[in-house]
Amino acid sequence: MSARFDHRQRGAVSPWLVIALALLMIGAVVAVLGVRSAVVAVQDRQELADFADARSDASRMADNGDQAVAAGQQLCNCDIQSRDLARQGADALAADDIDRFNGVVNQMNALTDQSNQLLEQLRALP
Amino acid sequence: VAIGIIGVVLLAIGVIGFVVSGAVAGDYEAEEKLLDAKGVEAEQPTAELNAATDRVKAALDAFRDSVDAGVSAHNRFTQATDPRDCSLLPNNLLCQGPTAEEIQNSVFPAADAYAAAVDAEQNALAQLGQALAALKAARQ
Repeated sequence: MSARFDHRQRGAVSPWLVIALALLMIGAVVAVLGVRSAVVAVQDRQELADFADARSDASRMADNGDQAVAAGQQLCNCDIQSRDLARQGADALAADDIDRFNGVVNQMNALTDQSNQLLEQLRALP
Repeated sequence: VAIGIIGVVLLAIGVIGFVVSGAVAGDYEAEEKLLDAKGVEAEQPTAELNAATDRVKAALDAFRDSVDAGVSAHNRFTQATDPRDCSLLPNNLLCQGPTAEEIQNSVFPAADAYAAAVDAEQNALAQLGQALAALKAARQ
């Protein structure tokens, strides 16, 4: 009896072992896919976060740039007028025309006040 | 039993992985749609945007520097036209503006230097405008 029983046990595969092995295989596949999916998702998220930050920085810089260009154009206009006045002032001095020179200086001073305000705006930009 | 437990643990790890990937997927939906519409990966537009932003920053700094240079040139011109220091003279009426020689040697060169500084300022502003246009194009 004992010998027959042993013979049957050696030949049979336990259904629990089959289930366990199947579970192991399925688990291994699911684990690989799941971990891979999580890693890819986290990487994608990081890349998207970097992209979102870059867009946000770009928007902020574009706003600053717009303000700087607006202030800069006014500043340049003032400086162009001031540049022309400087030349006129030098000519007036060379001609010993002090009244004309003083008039030019007054106009330049008024432009300098405007320029200083615009300069403050420009410097205040981050 | 041990094999089965390992299988269940692996299964659980896999499920957690899928749950995590599902949870983080929706955080940047707007950006994802934008990239999908462009048909590009995030890395390329991110690098382009960062480069364009850096160019605008550099152009803005260069413009500020050119404005500062303009202010210095303006001040040098003003100093060149100032009357000579006559504080040691007994009568302020003796104070006079620059001599003809000083006008030729200092005032006119200072006016020219100021004109050059204003030109440089305009040039820097034009470059800022170009960098800004490139940034806006990259942002779209």
